[in-house]
Amino acid sequence: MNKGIICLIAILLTSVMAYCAYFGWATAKSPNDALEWLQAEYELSDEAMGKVSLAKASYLPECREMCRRLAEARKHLGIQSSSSTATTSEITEAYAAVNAIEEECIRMSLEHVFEVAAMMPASQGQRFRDRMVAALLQDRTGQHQRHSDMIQGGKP
Amino acid sequence: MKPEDDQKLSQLLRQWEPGTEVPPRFRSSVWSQIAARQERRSFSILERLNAFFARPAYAGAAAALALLMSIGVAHQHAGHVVSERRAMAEGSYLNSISPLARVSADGATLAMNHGHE
Repeated sequence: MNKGIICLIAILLTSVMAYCAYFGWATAKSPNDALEWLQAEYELSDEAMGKVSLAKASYLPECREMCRRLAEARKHLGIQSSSSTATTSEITEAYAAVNAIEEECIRMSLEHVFEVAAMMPASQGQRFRDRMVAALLQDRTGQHQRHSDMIQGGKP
Repeated sequence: MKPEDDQKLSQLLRQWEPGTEVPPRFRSSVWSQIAARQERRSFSILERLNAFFARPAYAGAAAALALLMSIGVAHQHAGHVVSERRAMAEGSYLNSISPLARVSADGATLAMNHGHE
């Protein structure tokens, strides 16, 4: 009887099962979507999470409208810059329009972030605010760079 | 060496015959012995493993080591997966509240529904 070989097979099988069990347990609590992440990351109660969800639901139509306006303004800027070899007044105006809408978007997003942060426990709210404000402003810097490249390159 | 010596040596070699006689089926016997030894050698690895794991102390140590290693690898892998999921969820949240993040810079792409569900 190959007792040793049976023992080896049992060890290998047990190791694979241990791997699967630990991996499943360790990843079970990882977030599957944005709101789950928000609740877990900032340790929000169900009540606070309900308020955050409501605030987001009322914010979304406004956000959607801004997306539409921003996309249109950027499309217009792209058309203007691709149809010209030098910076014209139309390009300058289109660029200013994009900038104005982006400023408005940033203001609106920051207002929402501050509103949500106020629904969290103080320390978590502070952490959320700092992280989101940094991310939003970083995003804004990236957009500026892209617009400059677009105008200098003369292509959308 | 002279050419005459070379001829003498060649002649001698032609006349020489080995004194011993090869037993019948000598060649096939040699090959069958080689095959048998190779077979024994391939079995010996399994036999060695069998002997090693048949000892409770060795088997216990190997089991403990294998368990530790599998949990360690699972821990590393899970940590990587969890941090990746968190980063994706955070990006998704940011996308859902920031029009700047959602509308691509070329102005032609309308990401109207992305993240608004």
